[in-house]
Amino acid sequence: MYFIDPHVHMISRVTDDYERMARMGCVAVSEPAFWAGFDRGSVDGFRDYFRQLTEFEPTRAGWSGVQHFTWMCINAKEAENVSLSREVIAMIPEFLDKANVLGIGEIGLNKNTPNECTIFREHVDLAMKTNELILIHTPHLQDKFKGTRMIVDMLLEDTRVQPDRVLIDHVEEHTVRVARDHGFWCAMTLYPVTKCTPSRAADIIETYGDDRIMVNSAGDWGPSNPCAVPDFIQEMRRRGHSEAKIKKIVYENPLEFFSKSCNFNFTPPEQQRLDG
Amino acid sequence: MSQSAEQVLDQVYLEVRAKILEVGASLDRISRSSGDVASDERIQKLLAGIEALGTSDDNRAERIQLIFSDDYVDGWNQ
Ligand SMILES: [Zn+2]
Repeated sequence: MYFIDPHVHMISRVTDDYERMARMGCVAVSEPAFWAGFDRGSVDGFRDYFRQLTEFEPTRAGWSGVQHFTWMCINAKEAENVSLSREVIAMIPEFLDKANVLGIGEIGLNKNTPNECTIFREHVDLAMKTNELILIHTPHLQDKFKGTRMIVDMLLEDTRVQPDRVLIDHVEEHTVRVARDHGFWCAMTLYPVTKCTPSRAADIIETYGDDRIMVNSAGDWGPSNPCAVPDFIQEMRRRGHSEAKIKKIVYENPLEFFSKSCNFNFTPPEQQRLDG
Repeated sequence: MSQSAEQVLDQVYLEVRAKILEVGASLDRISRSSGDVASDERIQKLLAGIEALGTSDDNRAERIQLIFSDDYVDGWNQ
């Protein structure tokens, strides 16, 4: 089955991972900008990172036949540095017209601090002024419930925000409802210990349905598995769910959401083969 | 849903048994180690989570998540 991994930090992974993902059916990835494991020292550090995401990474993905899309922002961890964040936000428009940029992300909260809220709101403002989609990171562990509620409150404050152009990521049992009730898209992250396992993600689908929801590996430089989406596919099959239902979650839903961006020039795999 | 309760139980029984054993052994390891963590808030949360397993509704996972979550204050942004 073809799938799209809608959240994976491929710059932290090796080329062999693209190859393994492609062999398992991955036809496209979307890579939000995130924390590199250390705080970057200047706006030029981010400019170089965004060049990597928009220039080299799509090329490298292409070697395995995977289409690469990306999102621009300064992540919530580095948002504690408000002045640097504002420089980065002012620089982001240089990249919004690049061929593979889908929008602003992954913005959000980390420790739910006032500075993080300030920079979150300023990113949302940028997305509204430039008519971009938004991809949102929700906090980890004990901060997640409070942080997800705060994020939804801030989105509802801004009357320009259209919920169906926003994806709230890393939802779990206690946050999926608050995201979906307001009409936002949401995604579950399949991680070995934190976030969701494939079986809990399947439970959430069985409880809340398969509309406006997707699953991702959020593979990065930490413990994670870029082939986690196929694990979810396998779990759904084992439970007897139809191929059509599984395909909706791992392929059609990301397509539907990303297609709201004018830069989503995706070639379906069937078409690619005809062209090739 | 496509599976019967008995089918699901067949699939998860050994896995859940192993996870419960792991929890018991981990708590034993804490008990027989030096020092006292009885008043540590994390132990209280673990015990509250274990207690939530014994209830009979179908909302256990969500309730356990909330035990391990910070409180949200409505109207924080007003
Ligand atoms: Zn991420």
